[in-house]
Amino acid sequence: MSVAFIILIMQLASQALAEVEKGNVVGEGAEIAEALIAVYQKAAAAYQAIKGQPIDEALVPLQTPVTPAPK
Amino acid sequence: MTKRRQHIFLIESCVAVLLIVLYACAPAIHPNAVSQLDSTTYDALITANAAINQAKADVAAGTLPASATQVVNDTVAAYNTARGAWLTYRHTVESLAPGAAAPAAETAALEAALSSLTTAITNLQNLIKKGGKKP
Repeated sequence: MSVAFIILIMQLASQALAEVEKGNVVGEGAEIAEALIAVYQKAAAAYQAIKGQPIDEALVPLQTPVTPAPK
Repeated sequence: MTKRRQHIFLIESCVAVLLIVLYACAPAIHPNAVSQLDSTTYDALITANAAINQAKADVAAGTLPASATQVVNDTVAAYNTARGAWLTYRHTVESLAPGAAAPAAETAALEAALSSLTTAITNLQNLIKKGGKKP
């Protein structure tokens, strides 16, 4: 399950890259695509950091919702 | 090759290498995992947590538009549900006698929560498809 999940995130990043490269996304779409590339990089780094290590429940904290930046 | 293209090529290469590694290697179980499901769920939650943290930072900084907030928050909700189901499953299995069968109800709840989390990530993908395309 986790491998499929990680591959899904990678596919998401790859698609974002492809769309930016083709020039299909501009403005808000381009921002989203570039932000998702950063999301992929952080997710991949986190996975690599815990691979083979004992499970640490403290590394899986409860998340709180986000509020948009004030305009 | 422009700097931007070099950057994109580098990231695409990293994606390709990671995909090869993931496909080639059987997922290693964590030393203190109570089961394979426990171990793989931990991997998924760690990955999702890092992704959410980055997405939240982008929303807070205004890098991601306000329209992305709902999708990010849906992912947060799905992650929290999966986290709760994982902790319940893990602690239930830990309380069982060695060799006892995994609890069916907790296993089913965890698998359903992980499926919802995957759907939430897919919705982020759909956000890219819809957002900002040239007419």
